[in-house]
Amino acid sequence: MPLLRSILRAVISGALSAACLGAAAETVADPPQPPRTRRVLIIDQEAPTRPAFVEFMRGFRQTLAEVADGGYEIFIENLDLVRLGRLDDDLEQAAGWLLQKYGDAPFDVIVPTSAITRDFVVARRAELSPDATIVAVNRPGEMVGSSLPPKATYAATTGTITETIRLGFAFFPRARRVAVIGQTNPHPQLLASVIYDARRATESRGVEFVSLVDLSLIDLKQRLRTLPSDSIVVYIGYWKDEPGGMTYVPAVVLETLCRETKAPIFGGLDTYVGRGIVGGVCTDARALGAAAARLTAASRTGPPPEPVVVPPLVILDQRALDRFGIPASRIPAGARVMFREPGFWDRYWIQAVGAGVLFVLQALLIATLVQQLRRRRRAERLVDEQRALIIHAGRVSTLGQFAASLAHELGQPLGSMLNNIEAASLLLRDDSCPHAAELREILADLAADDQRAGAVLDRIRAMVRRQRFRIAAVNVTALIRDTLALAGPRLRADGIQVAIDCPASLPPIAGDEIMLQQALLNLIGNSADAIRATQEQPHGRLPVSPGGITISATRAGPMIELAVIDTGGGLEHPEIATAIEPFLTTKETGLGMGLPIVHSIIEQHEGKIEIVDDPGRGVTVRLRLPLWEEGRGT
Amino acid sequence: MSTTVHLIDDDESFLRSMARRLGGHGYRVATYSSVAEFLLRPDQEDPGCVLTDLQMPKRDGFELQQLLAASANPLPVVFVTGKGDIPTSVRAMRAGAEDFLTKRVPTSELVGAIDRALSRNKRERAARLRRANARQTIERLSGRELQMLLGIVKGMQNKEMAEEYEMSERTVKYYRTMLTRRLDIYASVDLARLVQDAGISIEELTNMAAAAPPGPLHEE
Repeated sequence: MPLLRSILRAVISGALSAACLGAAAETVADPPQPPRTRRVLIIDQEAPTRPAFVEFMRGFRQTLAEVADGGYEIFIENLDLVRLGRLDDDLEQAAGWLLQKYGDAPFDVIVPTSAITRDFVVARRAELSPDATIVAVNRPGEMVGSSLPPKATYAATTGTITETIRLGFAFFPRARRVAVIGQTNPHPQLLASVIYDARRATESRGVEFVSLVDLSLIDLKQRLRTLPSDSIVVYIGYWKDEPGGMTYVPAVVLETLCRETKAPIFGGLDTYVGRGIVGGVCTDARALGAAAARLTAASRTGPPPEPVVVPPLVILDQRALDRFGIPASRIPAGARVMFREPGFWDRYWIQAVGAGVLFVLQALLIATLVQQLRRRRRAERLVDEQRALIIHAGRVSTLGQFAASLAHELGQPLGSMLNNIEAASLLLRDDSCPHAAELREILADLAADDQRAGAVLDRIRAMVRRQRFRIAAVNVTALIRDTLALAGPRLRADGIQVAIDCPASLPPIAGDEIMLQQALLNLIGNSADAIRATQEQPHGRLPVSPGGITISATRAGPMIELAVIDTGGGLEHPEIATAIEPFLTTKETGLGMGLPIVHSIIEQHEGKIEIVDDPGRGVTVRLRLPLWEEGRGT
Repeated sequence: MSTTVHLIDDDESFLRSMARRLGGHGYRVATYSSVAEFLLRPDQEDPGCVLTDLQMPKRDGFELQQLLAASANPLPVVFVTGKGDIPTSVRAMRAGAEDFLTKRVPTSELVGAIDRALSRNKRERAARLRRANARQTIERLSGRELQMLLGIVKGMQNKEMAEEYEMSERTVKYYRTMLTRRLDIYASVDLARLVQDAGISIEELTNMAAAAPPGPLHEE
């Protein structure tokens, strides 16, 4: 039969070639025909759903599309030999079936994806597609084959189980045994080489070798459950529950096996990663597919391209690494770590950057606000300090004035007494009086006491005089403004209007700013009290406007005249205007020191004070202060 | 014409006691409770001095000082104050006060100040009297004699005066002799001092010479 078929096919192909040649001869002048679609046959020994195969095909198609830009038709034959059982018979059947299916349409490239299919294709190429290039692909652990037939090349993966075992010991240096899970069928050679490698690796390390080969699934699970955790398990595959049992996808079986044991499982296929194993030195199925695709495209012209080796890849499962507590430092360079939980930064970088920007903006805002607050506090503190200074100056000058007044008031009678004592002692000069001597003693004692009292007063006066008093150039506008800054809050609270009439061009006056502020403050306070008194008078008519204070400054020859004018009720006791004596007050809570202090301050400035009372309308106080002359000291 | 110490103070008790005290020291004392009262005193021309409080309602010590300085009989002023601070005292002394005392002044200072003020008054009165006499003397001179006096004060020679006043040197000599005899002052230096004592300036003397009747003519 095969012979007949081959003859038939030869005839057909000859006819076809002749036709093609004829056609070519006929159309020699015509523009070149679009290239004929090349046919590629992929022959896989297992089911099309095998994950490694799916990955392989993905890499193959993708790369072929990239490098060849179409023009290929891909046929796939999954012989599913494992499921079918007896390999040789099945292969025989498959060959016939394939010839029947594709015999009249030969392939340009045939890609067998394992040693078995490779051998099959090499043996049957003459029947199937004598002109086809063979692009052989091996499975991990499979020999590539020492010699290749003509018109053949290969993409080979070199991963061996030895490397996977070495990886296992790198992760678990204290492991005491290596167990291998595998089955003789469908890859007896593969299993043999794996067991050989594993035995060598265990012997060299002096650890135990445990064979879990060709066990039923139930037994296998049982063995895995009892396996100590200081073992390294190498999983080759589990295809069929012997004898005559279920057929399995090895990667799927792996998931259940991983749940049975505390020991880490390693495997040599990338598709095993993610099923619960730690990882392994794996065949990169997709890269293998890509390599095969490149060879396929390259075989179009000229001799078959040089074989390609696809290096194995260390593929690891981060979840398993975490489970066994394997630090990142033990992961070899270039390893592909799957299922790595994306880091916080990977997952939320936009949010993180946004939050960062927000944080920075907010920080800036807060900093600005804090800065502003600080500035305001500083300004407030300055005002407070100034106020404290004024209040202190006020107290000192009140006390000083008080003491000075007291000294003055007492000085007078003490002086009189001294005069009288002396007059009396002068009268006692002649000893006509019987008690002259004793009287003289009395008078001397009186004089001494008088002097002593006077000395006390002198000390008080000297103390008061030590008050700091610094004469400097004082800007009148600033003086008024600063004083109002201190008095303002109270005035505003009472609804008292303050008008300032002060030309900015006024020259400075010579004075102590604090003292002058004190004087002005006293006058403003008096005015405000007067205005408040008119407002509070129960019998008086309520004023239409709340009343106000006008502070004006004008130049008057060598002086500046400062006037504080109020709309209060005027002075209740007009003698206040002329009498500068202290302790005279009309206010319930007054000390009677306000005007005397102003008086004293103005006097110290060599200025003049004038009080004009307009009863019922208000009071005008005029202060005349000397202008500042350059070169004038304190 | 008795020398009096005038006491001015608004404090009645102090006024009285001070009067007693000074009386005890032998001074003649007059008391006034205000500047106004003092200004209305009799015997305005009498010698003496003033002991006044500095701080008083209405007119104070400074005002009194100014008023007195401008008056015909500027009595020396001694201030008495209950305060006695430096600026006030400086001001007072600058304005010509004789002294500046506190109300509790020791005797030596008080008596010293009063005596200084009185002797100053005496000196000033003598000077004033001299001046008044000199002036009176000069005012009695005739126009020609005044011309001669002016010439002598200016230090002119007879010849220069003859040219200046358009008369012969003889005539100049004649009027000079008349002048010296009348004043009973012969040295030119003494004549110049008389003019100075009288407080008459060259200009004033020139005016006087021009205004006064020329007097009897000298006939050659």
